[in-house]
Amino acid sequence: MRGTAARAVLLAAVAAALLALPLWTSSYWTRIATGALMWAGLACSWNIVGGYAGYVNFGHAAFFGVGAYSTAILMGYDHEWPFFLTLPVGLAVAAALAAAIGAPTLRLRGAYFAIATWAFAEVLFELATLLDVTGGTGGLSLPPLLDERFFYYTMLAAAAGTYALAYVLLERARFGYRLKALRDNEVAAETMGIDTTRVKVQAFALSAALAALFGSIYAYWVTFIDPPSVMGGDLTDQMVVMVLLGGLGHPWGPALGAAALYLVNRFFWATWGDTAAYIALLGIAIGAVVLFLPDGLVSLGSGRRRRGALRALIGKLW
Amino acid sequence: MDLFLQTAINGLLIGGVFAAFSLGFQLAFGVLHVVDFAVGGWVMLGGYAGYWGSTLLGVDPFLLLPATFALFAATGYLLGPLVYRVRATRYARPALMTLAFTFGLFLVMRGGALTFWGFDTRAVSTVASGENIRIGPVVVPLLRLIAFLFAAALALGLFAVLYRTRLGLAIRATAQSREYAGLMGVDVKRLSALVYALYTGLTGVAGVLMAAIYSVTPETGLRYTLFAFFVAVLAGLGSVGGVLAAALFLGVLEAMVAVYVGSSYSHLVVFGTLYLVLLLSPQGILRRGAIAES
Amino acid sequence: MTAAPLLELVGVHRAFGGIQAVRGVDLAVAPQEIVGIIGPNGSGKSTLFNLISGVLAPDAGRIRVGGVDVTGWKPHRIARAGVGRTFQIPALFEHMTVLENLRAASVEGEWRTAPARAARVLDLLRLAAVRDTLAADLSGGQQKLLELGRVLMREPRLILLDEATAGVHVSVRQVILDAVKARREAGATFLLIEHDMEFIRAVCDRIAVMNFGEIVAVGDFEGLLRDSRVMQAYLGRRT
Repeated sequence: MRGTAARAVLLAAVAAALLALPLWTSSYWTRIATGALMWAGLACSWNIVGGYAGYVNFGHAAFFGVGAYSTAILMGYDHEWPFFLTLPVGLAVAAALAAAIGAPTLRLRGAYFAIATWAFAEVLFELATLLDVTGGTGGLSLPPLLDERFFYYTMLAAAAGTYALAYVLLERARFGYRLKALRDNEVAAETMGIDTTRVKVQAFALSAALAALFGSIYAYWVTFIDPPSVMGGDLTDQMVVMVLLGGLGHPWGPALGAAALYLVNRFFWATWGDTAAYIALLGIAIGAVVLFLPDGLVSLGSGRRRRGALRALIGKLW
Repeated sequence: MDLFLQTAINGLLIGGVFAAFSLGFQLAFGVLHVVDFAVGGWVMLGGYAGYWGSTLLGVDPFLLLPATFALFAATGYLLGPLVYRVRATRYARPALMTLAFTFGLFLVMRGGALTFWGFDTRAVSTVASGENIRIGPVVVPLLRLIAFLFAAALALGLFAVLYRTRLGLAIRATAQSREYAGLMGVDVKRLSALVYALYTGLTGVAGVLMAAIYSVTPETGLRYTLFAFFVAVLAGLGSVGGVLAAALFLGVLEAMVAVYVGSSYSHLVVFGTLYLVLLLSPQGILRRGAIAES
Repeated sequence: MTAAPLLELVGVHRAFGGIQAVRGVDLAVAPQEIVGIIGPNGSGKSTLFNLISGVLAPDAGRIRVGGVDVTGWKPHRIARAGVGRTFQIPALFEHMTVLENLRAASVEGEWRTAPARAARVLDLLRLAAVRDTLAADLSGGQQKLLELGRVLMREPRLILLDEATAGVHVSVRQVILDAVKARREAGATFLLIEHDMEFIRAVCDRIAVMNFGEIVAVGDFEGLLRDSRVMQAYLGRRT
């Protein structure tokens, strides 16, 4: 029980630090922390399907974009909705879309699923550049709100809620057992009475809705969106790398991966003002994780796995 | 009608080049069970190889094709064992780990190209650039014709290797079963490296041709990865036979959409078709593909 | 056999391409009966299990469980109708621990009592020492036991065991034997694919012999020993 107590203290300390952060840092660092929280939440949402169900979604940015566009359209001059009312709309649209495409798409496995989700996301991306309601390539503007703390705390609430929900659902409740069972062996899961199609679609819809939530907040935060900034494939790339780096299918590994990569990304921006080299670095990070640390950064913590990782490292040097 | 014919010819000719890099991609999937996300990266780097080769040496890029093939094949031969290693490990999900790994490779290529060469578009000019042959009402761009012929020759060469040589027999045996081919005395590791080398070599050469026709930027890679996926899915992943038909179809489809609907719709149509084909017939139109296990 | 059969197969067919894997199988299994299925490799035994559990759909024929027609149902519905099975090659949740595997098995059943029942199953199958080991790291015999344990967790009324004792140590075989007998006493019905004749003699009430996709003989152990069709099936002589 000492471990539990230590974990509770650690959790409380992290919570206190996060709550107090805007009070003792500059607005620059508050912005960076806001971004890190957003990426941590997005990585977690990706991890639900990619890590727990074992279906690699290469088009997750589409749902982020759905949330962003929902909020941008509804808060725009035509509708002028208050921000918080747009959140449930974005969530619902993304979840409905995911549920609709989920059943046929989730019949595909492995690389087929990855390619299909990528294709689907690109279709949405192209639609966003062509339709009037999304402003086409010109994008959409939102009424600006210059309140860094508001966005920080909104993002913090969303990220904390996402992790808490994911933890309870995936590590404590039956839902997590269902998902992990079908990830490991779909036929065996079926013969245990698990309706795998239904469970996969539920996970997909949940993951999409959470991504949309962050998209909504992001749109209001940056006040201007266009297809590349909220639906670009780069966004999905980042989520995938963050989860791989942190720990695929781990409850809080994605947060670790997201924080690490986002800080590196900001560092590249601040130092060189461009992110071309950062893209290459992402690639190197993926290669290194796949080769040397397949269980991600979180596996560095436990002694047993660390030895495994080291062995893997030695074995991989061909 | 002339426009239609002209568009169809242009599409068919470019489809031949799509076939060239899709063939290598299919070979890599069929033998190594690797879905190589980096395929477009190899095409893109092939374009830069053509550009720098002809710029620095002042030689026509067509003359550099053998050297390009050798360079890319050598790179692939060195990289192949690493990819194979990831695929053959007892990781939780080796197929996904391999996809992730080649995706990482792709990001390294793209990021590297952006870092070193920036966003500039580089045009690769050849002796055939701008030359045309008139056949009745249609104009056949010489460059596309030569590129098509090159691609066709490469494809025929690949088929000859696969179906007429001992190496080809070993490759096909390995595609059927790595274990049994190994038991029959095939050095599966070396063979996998060779197949990967063949694939990267082919793809690099196709990249030079694509750059000569369209020019090259670091951002073109993703588009060609999409095209390779499209052709592979239509033909059935791992099936070499349907590649030519699928690639020509893609070439014509893209050209037609660009001319009759507008080039801004071409991505929408290509991705949309790919998605629908995957949903309706995941084993490919010809139902020859293998279902990849996760 | 007076009671209504728990499992009833009527003219069940299934082909793969041109190969008739199962052709016209009729079989009725009474409640609490233990029926063994024997036959050479490729005779259609595992395909029959896949058909009963819904992993495959039959091309023709009917399958009834407890009087309910389950033909064409998806595997999870058939499982919920009270059918549990193991696979010839253990189909475990490899990246979950032994205990998690057992809990995952009751995810569609009695969830609250799962920890207590898992503890009992662990004791019964002598797996308590490895409860926190990943399934992938178990020995072959332990994997067989865990798969059986997962079935027991669900407390199905019909249990299909596909070569539960193949390649396991004698002591493990005894554990499996005891578990099967105990569960039958508790009301379960069994269909077993087995190559282990001693095991079959010890538990089976009746034995069905399959060859070339058909059931060629049904009877008790002693009777089948004298049946020339059984010898033909095993020795490959054809009349």
